[in-house]
Parts: sequence; structure tokens; C-alpha cells
Amino acid sequence: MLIRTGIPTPEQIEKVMPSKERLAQGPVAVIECFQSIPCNPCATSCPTGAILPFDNINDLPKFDENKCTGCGICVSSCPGLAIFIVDETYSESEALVRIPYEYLPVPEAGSVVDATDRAGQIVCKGKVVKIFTSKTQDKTTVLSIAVPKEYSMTVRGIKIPKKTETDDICICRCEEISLEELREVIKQGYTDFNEIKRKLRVGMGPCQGRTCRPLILREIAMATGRPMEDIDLTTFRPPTKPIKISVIAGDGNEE
Amino acid sequence: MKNKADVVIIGAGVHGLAAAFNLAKKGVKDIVVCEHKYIGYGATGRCAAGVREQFGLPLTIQLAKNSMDVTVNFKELYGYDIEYTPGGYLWLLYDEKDVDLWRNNIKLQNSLGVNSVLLDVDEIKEKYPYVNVKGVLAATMNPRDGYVNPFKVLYAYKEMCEKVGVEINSYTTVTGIRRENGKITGVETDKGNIQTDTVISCAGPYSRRVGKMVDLDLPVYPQRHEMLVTEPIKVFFPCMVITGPWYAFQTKPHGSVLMGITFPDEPLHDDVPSLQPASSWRFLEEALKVAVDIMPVLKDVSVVRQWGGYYDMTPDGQQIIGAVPEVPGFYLSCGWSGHGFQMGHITGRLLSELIVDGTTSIDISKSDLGRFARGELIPEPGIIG
Repeated sequence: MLIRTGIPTPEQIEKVMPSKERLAQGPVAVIECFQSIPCNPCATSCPTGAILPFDNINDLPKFDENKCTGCGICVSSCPGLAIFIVDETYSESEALVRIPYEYLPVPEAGSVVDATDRAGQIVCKGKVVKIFTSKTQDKTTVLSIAVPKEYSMTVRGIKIPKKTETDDICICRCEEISLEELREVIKQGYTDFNEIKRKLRVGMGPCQGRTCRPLILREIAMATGRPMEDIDLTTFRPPTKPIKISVIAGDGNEE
Repeated sequence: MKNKADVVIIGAGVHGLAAAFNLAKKGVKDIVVCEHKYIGYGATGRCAAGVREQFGLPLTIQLAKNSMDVTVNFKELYGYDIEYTPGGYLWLLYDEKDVDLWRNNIKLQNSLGVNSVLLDVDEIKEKYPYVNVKGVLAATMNPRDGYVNPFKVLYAYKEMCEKVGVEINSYTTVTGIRRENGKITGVETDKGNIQTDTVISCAGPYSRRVGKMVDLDLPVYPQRHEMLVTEPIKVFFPCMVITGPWYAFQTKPHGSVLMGITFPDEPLHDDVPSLQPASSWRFLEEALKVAVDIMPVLKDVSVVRQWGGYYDMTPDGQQIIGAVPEVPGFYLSCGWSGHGFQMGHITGRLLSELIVDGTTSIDISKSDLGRFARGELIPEPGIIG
């Protein structure tokens, strides 16, 4: 199952579950690593020696739960995003689950998100309590999510709720402009392609509109009822593809 | 489109829209703006959008300072964020003569309330370590100088204008100006005629064309200038770096680097050429050669786009603003010769004062059209390029 779907079986999870006693003491790592591959950053990054040094780099991690302080360094160091910190002592009714998160946008602290299980199915709501983004995490953001206690061993991911149906449809990849934003400025009366470009920066990025131009054209046509061939395009400007400055001008006189 | 107006403004760039907005705020009712393409098609939408107070003539400094007050406080005044990024113009000086000139300019600027300073090479090295100071003798710096996002300014004015009832007509070309007994009676466009006794030309590089409609031979000549922009990179230099003909700065929050270089041999045209302002390979090569020399750190950054636009050059590199005695009812704001964008706020206000009150809060009489006939030119020593 794991190999095919990436989702571990309940039996596999059961084997790596910290003890009830340890969970009652506060935050602890849950290492959901089930695949023998040459990978050991969890052990080398653990400051307390709770993740024991590997005899063979292909080993699965061996974990001493009593040495673990729940510091969370292993969460962002695991390339497989397989380690979580669970704190069942967070509050009377809630547990805190710390999860690695490599998507954009990062949710805002304090916001309520959809909490998902290992298969990505929404199981409950969660509150983003804290966002960890230090440089040592190498762009693996870690989120602390407060969830009802009964979901502490179920919640392993989040989804930011969609504002509307078109909110997450990307029109301009270079400048990260959504269909929602495009439709909003068209609604405000900006129906000239050049004005939309200047208003939203669509087509100003590295692709220079090669991707978004036909999409925007279609949207303008749909909103205004004008045929696509009657709508003025933005000017095609050189250079056609991004060129490194040094390719044109050399390296300069570095001293 | 209205067929009758109190004021018709030709050109929907920052000058035209700022004039319209200020007139409406002063109580003028029917204001119509005509733009031959889309809003900001001309110089406003193509410019570098630098804003500065470092000039060399009292009038220019005074205009710049008053306009800068609006730029700095735009959000508080009008509620729109125009991405004003202070950080200063770092003007590198390579020649003793220039150092003397700018020492005097700075003295003048300081006396008019501008906090510019002259930096020595050690200070440049310390504050701007990524700038190659080879051959540099000194640099000027005024921390309030900076840049804004021209599109944010443009659309802020557009929306502000619409809120106070100004009619803006895009794709409406003015084809003629009607007069009876010398006085203006109306404006002809390709979409119909508008009855009016007051016309403001804010046509930038197209000013000469508009001037001919009232038999004026305006000495305002379009000259191509080019720019380029890179991919966005982490914001690391806060100021505009200028050598004279060359300049570069980084936009915030976006992070792209904008750059330009001026060629003295770029011809002055009689009218804007009918084709789009073309980009040249020479520009790309020359601008980037200076870039890797002055800021070697940029060498691995990629250029994504280059474009061109037209300055509206006058014989003394200075603006023509105000009324034209020969054509009662005709007002001008043109000939800004490359430093006009930042002056839109103040010029809009001064034109509204002139038209409504008959007098202006800043004496602009020296920058009238008549100075060319009188031989009283006012050359500005602080021109980039």
C-alpha cells in the first residue's frame, strides 16, 4: 500500500506510535518512516540523541522516546516529510500537531484551515498556532496546528480553504495572479489588455505572456462580449527569452 | 461622451489626470479628458518613475519638493499605496567639474529645505558596498529621493478622477481645436465634438502635434529613450545608482531591477514616429556593459524585457507650463524633458490654481512658452543623460 499510494497502513503506524505515558508528558516526535532508503538526516540533526545513529544508512530510524524533547528539528530535516511532533498536553480539548509544509502560500498564523489525514482527506478544522521558517529549515516551513485531541494521530496535513471556486486557478504563473484577481479588475472596468497588464503585472514576468496571453484574451472576450480577434494584444518586447546580463555584457571588470 | 465641458484635457497621463482631479476638487464641474490610446499609453506608462529633489535650479527644486510632499504622503492624502520607495539617488561623480557643480547644487538644495549631501568615496564604499567606485570622486545623495510604481499612481488618479465625476475617454483622438476670434470654442475628436472655452494640453511627446492645432510652433521634440527590466531578485540595493547617462534601481516589493542609458546622438523628432517606439540592441548592450562595470553583482541576473518611450525635449531641457497669451483658454504642461512624471502632482495643482484663481502658489512665470522668444532660457543642470 505504501509503495503504491504513499499512505502507510494502520499496522505500520501502530508500530511507531509513542507510548501513552510519553504522550502524556508533552511534545514528542512521531517518526512515520517505513521505507529503507539511504537517508539519515533525522539522526544527524537530532540534538539529544533520541534518534539513534544509523549502523547502516539504509536503516529505518530507531527512536528513544524518553530522550526526545519534541524540539522539532527533525521535522524540517527529514527530506521525506515523514516526521511530526505531537503534543497532547496543549490544552484540555486540543492537541498540537507540528507538520512540515512545502506549499505556497503559507497560511497566516491564527487562521483556521482544513486539517487533513495522511491521504489528504479533510477530517476536521485546525487552527494555525505558529509558523516556523528559520533559515536552517532550508525552506521547509513547519506549522503548528491545534486540532481536537481525538485527531492528534490522524491530522498530518492541511489545506487552505478556497475563498471561491476560481480562487486557486492560476492565470499568470510568473507573477502568481489568479483567475479571481483577473476577473476582479475586469469587473472594475479594466478591459484593455494593456491596462490589465499594468494593473496586475500579468505577462510581465520571465515568460513575457507566452502562457497567460491567450487565457487573458479569452477572459476579456468573455467579459466584454468582444471577439478575441478585436482585442489589442500587449506589445511583444525583446528579448524573447530571459538572457543573463553576463551573456550580453561579459563579467565586467571585477576587482 | 459629453458634448460640452468646462475644461477639456488632452492626454491621460499623470499630468492630465492630476490636472483633472485638482480642477474637480476646486469645484470645476464638467471636465473631460481625451486620450488617443489607453490611459498612460505615453510617457507615464513607460517612464522609470523616479522621484527626486536633487535639481540645480530654484524653480525645479521648488516644484520637485512640493511634488515630493504629495508623493511621500500619497496614502494619507488619497488612500492609495503608490509603492513609494525612498532610498535616495546616489549620483556618482567622476569629474572635478561635476563635483563643483553638484557642491553648488547641494548648497542651493539645502537652502530650499532639501537634505541632500555630498558623500566621499569612503562613505560610498561603506554604505553601498556593491557599487564599484573606480574613478569615482564623490557622490550626491538625498534620502527622500526614490521611486514609485507609475501604474499605481496612474490608476489611483484614474479612480480618484472618476469618483469626483471626471469623464475619461480612452481611444479618443483629438483632431482639432476650434477657435472664434482667437478664443477657444471647442475640441474636435474622432468620437465627436466637445464645446469648451478651456483646453489643457498634457500631451507629452505629442504636444507639438497639439500645438499645431492652435497655430503654435511648440519647441517640444520627441526623443526616444529606452529601459530594461530584469527578473525579480532579492531586494539588496535601496537607492537609485546614477552615473549621469546610466541609472539602475530595484523596485520594491517586486524586486526587479530597472535600468536605462541615454544616448546623446538619439535624434530629436518633429513628431512621434508612427511606429511603436522600437527597442535597440545597442541599448541592451551599452546599458548592461555599464551595469556589470558599476554593479558587477548583477552579472548573473537575467533581463526579461526592454522597451522604449519618448521624452518631450525642449531647447533648455525644461518644462513649459502655464497659459499661452496668444491663444486665450489654452494651457500647457509639456516639455518636461524626462523629469516630468514626478512633477504631475504639483503641476496638476498649479494648473487648477491658474485656471480657477488666475494665480499660482508657486511662481511659474519663468517656465512659460514665451521664454524661447524672449531668449530667457532656464537650462537645468540636473538632468539625467
